[in-house]
Amino acid sequence: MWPPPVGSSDFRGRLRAVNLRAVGITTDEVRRIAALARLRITDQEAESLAGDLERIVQYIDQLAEVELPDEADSLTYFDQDVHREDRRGECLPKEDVLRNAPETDGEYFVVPQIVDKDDS
Amino acid sequence: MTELWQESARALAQKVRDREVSALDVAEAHLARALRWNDHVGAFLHLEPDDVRRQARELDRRVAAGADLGPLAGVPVAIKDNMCVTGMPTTCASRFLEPYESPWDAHAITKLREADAILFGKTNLDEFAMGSSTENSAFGPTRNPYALDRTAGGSSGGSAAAVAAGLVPLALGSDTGGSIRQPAAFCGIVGLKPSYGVVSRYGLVAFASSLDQIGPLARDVDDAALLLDVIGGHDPRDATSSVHSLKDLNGDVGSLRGMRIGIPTEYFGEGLAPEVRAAVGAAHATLTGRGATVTEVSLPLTKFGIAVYYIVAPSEASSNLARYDGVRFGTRGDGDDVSSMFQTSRGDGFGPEVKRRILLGTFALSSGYYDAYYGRAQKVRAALRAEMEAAFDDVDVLLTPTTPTVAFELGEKAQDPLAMYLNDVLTVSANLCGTPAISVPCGRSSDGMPIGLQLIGPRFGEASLLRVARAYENAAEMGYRWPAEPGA
Amino acid sequence: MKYRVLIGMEVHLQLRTKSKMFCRCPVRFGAPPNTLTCPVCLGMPGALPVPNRDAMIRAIALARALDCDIATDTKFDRKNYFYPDLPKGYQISQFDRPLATGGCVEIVTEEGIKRIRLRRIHIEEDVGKNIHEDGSKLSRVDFNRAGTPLVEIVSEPDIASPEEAHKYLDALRAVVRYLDISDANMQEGNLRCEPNVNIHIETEDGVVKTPIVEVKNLNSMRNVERAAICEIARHQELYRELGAKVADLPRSTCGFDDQTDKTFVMRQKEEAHDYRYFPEPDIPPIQIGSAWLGTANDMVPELPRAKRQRFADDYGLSAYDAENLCRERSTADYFETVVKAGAAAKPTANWLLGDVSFHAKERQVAIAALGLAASRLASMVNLVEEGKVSRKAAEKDLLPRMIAEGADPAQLVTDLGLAQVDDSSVLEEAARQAIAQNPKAAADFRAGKEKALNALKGLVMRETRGKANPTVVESVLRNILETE
Repeated sequence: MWPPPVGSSDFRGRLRAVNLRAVGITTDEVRRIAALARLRITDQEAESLAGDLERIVQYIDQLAEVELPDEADSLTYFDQDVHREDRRGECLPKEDVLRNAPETDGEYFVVPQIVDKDDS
Repeated sequence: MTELWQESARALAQKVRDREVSALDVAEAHLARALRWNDHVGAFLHLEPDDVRRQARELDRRVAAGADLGPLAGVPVAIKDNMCVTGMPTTCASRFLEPYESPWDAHAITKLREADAILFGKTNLDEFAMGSSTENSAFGPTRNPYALDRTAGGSSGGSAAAVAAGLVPLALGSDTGGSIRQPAAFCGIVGLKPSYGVVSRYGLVAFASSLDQIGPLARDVDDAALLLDVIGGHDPRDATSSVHSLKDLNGDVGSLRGMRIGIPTEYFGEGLAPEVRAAVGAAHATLTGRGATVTEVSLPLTKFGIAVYYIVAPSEASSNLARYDGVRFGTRGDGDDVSSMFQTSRGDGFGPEVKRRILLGTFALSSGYYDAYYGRAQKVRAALRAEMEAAFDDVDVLLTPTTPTVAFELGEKAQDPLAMYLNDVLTVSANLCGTPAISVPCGRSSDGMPIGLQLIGPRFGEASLLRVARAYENAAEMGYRWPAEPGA
Repeated sequence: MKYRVLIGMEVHLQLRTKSKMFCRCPVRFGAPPNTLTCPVCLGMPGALPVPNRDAMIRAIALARALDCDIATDTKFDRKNYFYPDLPKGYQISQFDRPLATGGCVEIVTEEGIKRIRLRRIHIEEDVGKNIHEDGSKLSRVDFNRAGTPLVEIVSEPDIASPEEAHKYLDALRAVVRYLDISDANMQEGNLRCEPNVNIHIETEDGVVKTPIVEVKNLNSMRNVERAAICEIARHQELYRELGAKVADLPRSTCGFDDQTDKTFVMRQKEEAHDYRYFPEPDIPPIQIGSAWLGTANDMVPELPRAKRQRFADDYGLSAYDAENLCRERSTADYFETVVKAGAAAKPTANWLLGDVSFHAKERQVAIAALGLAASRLASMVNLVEEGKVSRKAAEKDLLPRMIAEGADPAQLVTDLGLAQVDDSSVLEEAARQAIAQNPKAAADFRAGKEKALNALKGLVMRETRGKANPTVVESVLRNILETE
């Protein structure tokens, strides 16, 4: 019984994977994603992140091998009610609402001008 | 003589209730030790002695007035700095939230206050709990009390180091992929990740909502059970909080006769350090000696756990961290228009690992990739859970190592994110499946580093999990080995 | 140019609940900025959403009323984008398992009833408000509105003209108001709509489709109609300019300027936004069980269409009267209360849609909210019908006082001496006097000039200071002139 046999395959999964995507993650792709995530990154960061992400995504690509039942469904943990009654509760005092803000005028949060509506 | 800082939480609470010692005595004993140790281990990000004393005096007044005291009366509890506590900063070890003070308490904190615990301070972590070594803290790493050049683990490294070194008897951590259990194993203490939904996440700063769970770190199983008992329970403010109530957490140490323990062979594959393998093997013998039956089980999807985890967690994180935009809280970067302000605030405020995960998650959710990555990962996750649930038809708990190796050296994996991710391989399944899991010390390596074993139970199976853990701890008779004084 | 107009409508409707969709902050308009907020609707670190059951049930009731298929399993999803008024960096909405699909809104066109099919109805949360000041380098943000429950109702492009767009919104609003789930007021922003407009032009080489334009910032039904007219004209213009190439233009978004009555292009979308929708992990999937369906069912009253039909059938009202009475549920209910109190249906309808409606508009309240007791209005209607008071007196003297003071019409008639004189002996004397005063008119009448009688009637009315019952006056005069 003990010790269990040393597995023939590494329990960390396949560490070197074939690339399943037509194109790897390029620095341009990293910049595109960074813009979507509103993250300013330097050119140097874009380069090293492209390498990191490519390696990570290649590792993740092994998920394509898993044989799944026809209609594998996502999560359904809960057999309980997950809603609440329509009752009013306390609001946060205005001081606490604004206390942590980088900039306010005492009533509103203040931000730099909005140039283009929803350019996400 | 046993010093106050060496006592268990149970003993301390009893002494305070019995007026054998004052809460202030308890606080001072821990403060003295914490102030001496913290420079060496970097366990605390926030430690304000006067605030600790104020809480202790307040409690002592209530003791004097004959008030009914809670189960954690006078017990110092350290809190991972990703939980909201009024009157203290909540930074998540991020530059972005450096100036942030929450105007409200997390549910677990409210429970601690009601239990008359002393909120001792906020502990270090990987930024937003993203990491396995606490090296991703914007405020410096936490060091392992048993070897200061090694990691205390992560992301709850600060909490683990604080408990291990006797700076506090108890600490709260959060566990998204092993962030309580792995540092507990590395620091030679007990760390429990409860079933998803047992402890309310209200006030836990979200990393990955479907995986995050708050849990206790302690020096023995009974203390961990005590803290879980205090913080667990339904909270209507968290829609994922379970109405299922845990019972018999503090059961007696009896025989394990009839208890079926499963050994998932996939957890003992290549890459497992021989010393870890041997220590867990010895634990297996100890448990059979207590009357448990042990069977081998197979969980072939285990090896896909990391791949699933590193899609699901970063995807949720990329969305959860979108609120840090510099409008309502945190630091704000420059920018003439709001869009460039968003980019600089986030670009300057987040560290490299957080950026990496946000980008990974944004990629996995973005159009054209969703089905291949996020969609696929969720399906594999469901299959993984089905596989795990099926295993519990035949066994009561699973026994595995907590980590493939003992604590690694600081800097060893910092440049290789994938190597760091793979360190979570044995712990992520419990998060992906929502099941409870506990790490219990099971020996030392030849160079004196702690080794942990992991017990995984079925969802809401905390009681039997704790029963096995307690029986093991009792039978192993290892005692607690205190780390050497730093600089000694 | 032979073309067909296709308009699909996206409507956002704020639900009138006590608390917000995912937290317990009050839903209220006009509070000082950022005072109706909490950790949840501000998206503070660590805060979590819990769905408001009553908001769900109201949305289900709407779906029921519009004959939609209600999902048995539904879920919330996150729609990710960045904007200062969006606290969490994502909006909790519904993506691939909406609350309801299908269904329709019925409108009345000249060709009869037309069904505008619905694509889906889903629930989401409202965002905060950005306040821009012209010339300022700054914007201000108020989160009071953030988290207000919204339902989004998306129609198929079945709306074939600007008038139909107006009718669609009217009909939808009527249903919403019947359900009493929202104020559905466009000016206040609790009903917002974005028409998607394009035209299909028939050419010799087949149908040319102009690119779909989404029009935003419309704050009245009239503007929706105006904007659609503008866009249709602009699309025709584009076709004249570009011919079949017009189909290659990208989709775009327009605004509407109600000063100039013109639409203007805001931006062209080269590609769809990447909202990175994924299931909201903070809220487990929701099953809509029989309990919720039952509660929602109970909320659905007799709807405008059924009520109109019944009013026409049961009360013999014209289609026009029935439609107008049924526009607001409270008015329809009030009408029925007045009728139940004993008034005849037709004159009651006339009064309600005439003078009573006038007073209501003047006070900017609904008819039912005028404070006019149904029993009193019924008795006034009857006094007029029975000839006890003149219609004019009722209009001028009774109704205003009944509304202002809550007065009893019968009592007013006595107090003000408004009772019509129909005692023929009294009137006979007045009639003889009138004939004596104007013998020419008498002679003319006798010579066959019917109209001459009016002059004599006027004299009698003047003599009796308007209190004479005109019908009795006429018969008394005729009797004297024809028999003597």
